[in-house]
Amino acid sequence: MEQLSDEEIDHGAEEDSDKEDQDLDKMFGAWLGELDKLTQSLDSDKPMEPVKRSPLRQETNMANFSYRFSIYNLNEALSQGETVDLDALMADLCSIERELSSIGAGNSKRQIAETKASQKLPPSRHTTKHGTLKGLSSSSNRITKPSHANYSLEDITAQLDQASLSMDEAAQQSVLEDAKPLVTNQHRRTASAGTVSDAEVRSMSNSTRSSITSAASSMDSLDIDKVTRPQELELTHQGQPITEHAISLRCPSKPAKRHIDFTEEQAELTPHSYLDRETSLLLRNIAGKPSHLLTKEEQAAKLKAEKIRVALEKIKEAQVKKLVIRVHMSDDSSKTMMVDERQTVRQVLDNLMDKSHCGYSLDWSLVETISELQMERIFEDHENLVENLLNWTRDSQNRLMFMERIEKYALFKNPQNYLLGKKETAEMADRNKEVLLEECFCGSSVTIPEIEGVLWLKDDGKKSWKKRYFLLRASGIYYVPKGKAKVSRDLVCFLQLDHVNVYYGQDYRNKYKAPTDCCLVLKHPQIQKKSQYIKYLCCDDVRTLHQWVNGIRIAKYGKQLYMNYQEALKRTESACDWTSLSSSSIKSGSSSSSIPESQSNHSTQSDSGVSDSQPAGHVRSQSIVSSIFSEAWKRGTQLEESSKARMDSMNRSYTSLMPPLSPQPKLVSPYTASQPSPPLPPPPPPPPPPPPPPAPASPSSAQSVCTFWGLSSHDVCQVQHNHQAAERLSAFRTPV
Amino acid sequence: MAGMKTATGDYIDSSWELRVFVGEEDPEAESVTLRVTGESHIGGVLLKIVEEINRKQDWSDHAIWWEQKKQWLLQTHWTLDKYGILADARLFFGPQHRPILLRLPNRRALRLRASFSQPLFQAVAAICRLLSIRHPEELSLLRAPERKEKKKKEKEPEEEVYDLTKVVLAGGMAPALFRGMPAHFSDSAQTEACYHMLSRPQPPPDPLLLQRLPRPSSLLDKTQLHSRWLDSSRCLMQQGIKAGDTLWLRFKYYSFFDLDPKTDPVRLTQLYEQARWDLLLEEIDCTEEEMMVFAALQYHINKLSQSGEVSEPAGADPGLDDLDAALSNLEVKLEGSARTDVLDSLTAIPELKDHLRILRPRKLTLKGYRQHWVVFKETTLSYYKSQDEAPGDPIQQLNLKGCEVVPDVNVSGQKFCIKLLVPSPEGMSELYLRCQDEQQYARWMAGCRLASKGRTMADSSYASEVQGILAFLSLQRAGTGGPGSQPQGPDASAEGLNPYGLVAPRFQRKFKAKQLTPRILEAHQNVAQLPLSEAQLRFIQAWQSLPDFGISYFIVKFKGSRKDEILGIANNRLIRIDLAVGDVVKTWRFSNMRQWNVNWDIRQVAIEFDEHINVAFSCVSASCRIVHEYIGGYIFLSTRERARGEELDEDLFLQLTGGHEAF
Repeated sequence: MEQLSDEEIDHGAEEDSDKEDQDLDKMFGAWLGELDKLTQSLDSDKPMEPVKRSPLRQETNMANFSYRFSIYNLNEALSQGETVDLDALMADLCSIERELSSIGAGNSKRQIAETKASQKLPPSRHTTKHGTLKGLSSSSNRITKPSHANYSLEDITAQLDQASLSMDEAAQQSVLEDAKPLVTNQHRRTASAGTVSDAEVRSMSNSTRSSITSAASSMDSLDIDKVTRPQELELTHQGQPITEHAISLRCPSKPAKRHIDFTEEQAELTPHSYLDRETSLLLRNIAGKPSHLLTKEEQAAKLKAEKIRVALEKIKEAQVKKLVIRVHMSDDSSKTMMVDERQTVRQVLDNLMDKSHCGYSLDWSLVETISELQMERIFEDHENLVENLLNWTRDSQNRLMFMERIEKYALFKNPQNYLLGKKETAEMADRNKEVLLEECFCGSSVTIPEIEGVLWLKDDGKKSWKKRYFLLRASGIYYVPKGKAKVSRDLVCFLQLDHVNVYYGQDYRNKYKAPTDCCLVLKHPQIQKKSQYIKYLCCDDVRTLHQWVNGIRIAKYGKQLYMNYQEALKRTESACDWTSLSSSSIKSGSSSSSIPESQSNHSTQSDSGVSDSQPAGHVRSQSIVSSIFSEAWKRGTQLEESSKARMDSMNRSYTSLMPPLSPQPKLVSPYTASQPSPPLPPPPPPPPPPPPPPAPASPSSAQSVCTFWGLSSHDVCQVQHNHQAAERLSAFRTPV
Repeated sequence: MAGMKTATGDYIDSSWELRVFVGEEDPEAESVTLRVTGESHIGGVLLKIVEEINRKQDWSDHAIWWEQKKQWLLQTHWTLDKYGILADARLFFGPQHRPILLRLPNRRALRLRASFSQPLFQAVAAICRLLSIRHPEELSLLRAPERKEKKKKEKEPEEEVYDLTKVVLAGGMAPALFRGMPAHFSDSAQTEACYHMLSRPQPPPDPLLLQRLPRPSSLLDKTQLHSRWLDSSRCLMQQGIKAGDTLWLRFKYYSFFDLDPKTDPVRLTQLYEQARWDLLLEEIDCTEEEMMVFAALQYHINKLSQSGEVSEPAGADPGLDDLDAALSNLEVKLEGSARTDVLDSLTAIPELKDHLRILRPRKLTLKGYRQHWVVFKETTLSYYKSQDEAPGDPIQQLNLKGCEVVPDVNVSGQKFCIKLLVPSPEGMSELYLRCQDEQQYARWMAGCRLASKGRTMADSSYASEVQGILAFLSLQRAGTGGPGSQPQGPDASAEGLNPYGLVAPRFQRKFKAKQLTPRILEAHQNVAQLPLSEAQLRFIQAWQSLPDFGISYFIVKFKGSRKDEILGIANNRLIRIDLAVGDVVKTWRFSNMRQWNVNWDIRQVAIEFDEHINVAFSCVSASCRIVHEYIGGYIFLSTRERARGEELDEDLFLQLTGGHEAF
């Protein structure tokens, strides 16, 4: 399944960026074929994951498909390469992709919601095509909103009417069911009576294609209206060479959008508009059964609440923003994908890892680079990607990079480097690392590492830097004013961390005459240009820089950071376990004696030396390591990190891109074999290939299995070492 | 049996006379004399004593205390010989549970009966069970400090002493809840009041009192407190505590396990109180900004507890999603009188339009506020030169989503300003809105606050937000207005905001009340939505994240060093601190520790860490028993995660913290 969606998104990517001027018909044909293939394979795939799909889910899927086919047939019958149909198809492709990805999510409730979302996708997608493919016929780049809305509205209405003709009687039913929402519409919009008929027509036509009943279709009618705005946005983008940045489909700029115009208002769907919607629903409900209300008040209330909830959920669904984003790889290639506003960075990362066959590693990160300010930031896994990307300006040169960054979780791999004070030893056994992490993150409050020292602060608007003694506290960053002692009471607050994010500065020695290139920047995420509100700090060395950045991250995100790490670990682990399962045929040939054994009892964790590492009974509550393999994995990355750190201290700053170290996705090369230092976690073989399309990355999978075993033999000695540690520990425990 | 006599009255067995005083160690107490032999069992002796006294009374709690040996004779099957008791032994037959005056973390006094015969650890556990505080291992008792200024104290009014001496706790485990409190508190109005005292935060202290109370001026002073801890493995009697003595109950180990607002109202409150007093008495240092947050939380907590709103408001989750809010709002609307204009109000687009004075602070300009026509719609603020130009392009348009909204209000000065810090790609735009009166201010302020969270004035919470702001302003008026009311008056518990009761005296000296008030209010708006227990929890968490949190200080002399130094003991590490400068010299973690030994003769503690690091020091400010117990206690507490849900392993605790009985 992953394969499929991947392929699909790849197509999207090529289309969006490179071949904009290509022959439309050709592409159209390709899409049709693609769609065919997809739907087929989807059907054939279904038995593969029977557990995850709820029956309801299947139902809605089928509904969707029938819709798709009908459009497809319609197109054949009309045989006109009209843009709208093309767009609808494109939207279908998108919705399929979204479904595929949502299947993995497992949450059936959410899935249902997503199907609904995908149902309303067509119109929205429609405009993207207008924008990127054809440039649309309307040459004036900004038409006033109402007229513009009407234009596309009519267009769509016409299209949908056509579609409705070819549909069967099922549509009629839904029309009947739709009558109620319509009534509520009228009920509500008494003020703008003129437009009511319009709305009626639309929702009627709409209902034909909605295979889910009643309320959903009323939502659909809203979505059509939404189409209008993204289009304008797209138009403004036309002049630019390549859409390097996020293009918002649903433009979020709520301000100034509230027009008296009916369509516009519905599209907005601000809280109060959904409030009145549900009220009306409720009113209808009450009007329907007054006797019930009187006799069984409780029951009625319950029913009412339930209905409101359903309606509200649908309304919420309709508000979901989506972005088409371009993600840059470290090898200068890029992928285009669609994210919706509910997706966290973690989810997007999972998608990307699946799609690029780059192997599951903790270090894959989404990095925001702001070229104008020469700074970058690794998005945290829990952050909302869309929210962050919407901070970018329209003509932004910012990039979103998908790359491996060891800084992301170095904090958890070697916590002693970040969490301990200056006066403590840096060397630490693995067992103590976990104790340390637990102490820091698992208590009732998070302990902020005691980070303090002299940093350089850039003067506002000048290229001069001044030394100050800074301290990090949970409440923010402080400095010691001149001539004062370093006691809490005299500290001056430099910044509080609620509203700022921490960035790495790049090459500030040149840009701002910084003392070193180890700079960190604190700014509000919305600031995109030079401003006095951006604070630049410069550290003496890389180590200090990373300590500060990670300290600030801990102070800002607290326990969330640790949860992110554990979540990421879980993902990579499950991918890893699964890899080892799939490669079992190779395993039998392996000569290593200890590994099969340890693998067999990876639930007990008794032999790895990690579990019983508690002096005087500290207990690891989290199940970090589930198999010896993931342990090997971790260790590999750790070693890699240390070697990387050495490299860094020798010649260059962390912040530059690191082509040699991050394996290129989809790049099959013998680099793993030739690399002297312990290799990176190798890419695991791709998921079991679904029947129809052959897996494109099969050679790389063979490669990765090889390197995987190379790594594991290295790990054998690690295990033995750990045994020793465990013994030593148990010896320690007795005296106490 | 003992006391066989010949006809002449000579005793023919080896019996002898044993004199036992009845009552608590009182030399003039009545005494009984028994005839016993070395083989007499303690149980038999007890029976005899009761017979001799010949008084109807419940003697079940009585036991014999051997004064010279400082020992209770609790093993009733032991013989006198086995105890080694001879005729010269001074024995007292008295109750094992005696009243003490307990000074709680919230500084209130409570009289209750504590066990004088069990090891302190058990006695504290029993007290905590009575007070319904979970995890008694975190608490312990301190001797009360000696009173120096006798005269001054006498002037003070008699404080209220709560009495729980008559409450008897059933032997069961967790006391059942009755009327929202443990059943044993619901017996009488008095005990009920006592429970309220325990479970509800106290009003802010009188600022004058705060200034008078002793505060540590240096690390040296902070070591004083820790010399007073009682020994957990010995009973109160053995430590020279007498009935009626005052003892402090405090959280001793700063490792609070499984703090749950729902099951721990008393524990949470007492912890909050201890944290609060720690901060107010400058036991722990914090910065100005942090103090403002603490003050705002105290203010908020006090407000909630005064208003009696102890129970959690339904769905008071601050991060409540709009769905629930909208739902409840709808419910209310529909259940309530369904007004005819409901639909109208829902379809109308709420917006604010008015003449406001605006200031855009810029460098090197002395421009004041200027009148503008301001329109606030959705989350966007636009302003125009005049109302006539409103249809045209505004001078500036700001989307307030994500902006910082800071009140700048002085009620008595009739100043109602809203300071906006609006982020944009180019940087932050600062803007001051000046409103004419409270009503206008409340409306605009509520709109700005909602907009900063991405909501519009159509949001269901708008009206309540406006009300909240108005209520707030009236509070401020009550707090600072009123002619003749001194800001430092004893009416600190009044509804109004008296900032001096909320901050440490250091800040009282540094700032005037009218400087503090707006800063506290500014911090308050971030916490204004929290329910009581959440606010307390937040306070405790903020306290815990202070860098110096949870460090107990001792003066020690390290081996090989002549000067006194400070040893700090935290829940996970030992810290060596320079006495003069206050800088951290070295930190050792318990996780690296292999073992520690105490030499009781030379009062030296020797600790061995990984990689053959050995540390030895002798204790100066406190007995090395206290240091030893602190270390062992923290090690014990760190085992709790593993033994989650199990009974408290008392033996392990005593094993880790005791060990000096041998000497």
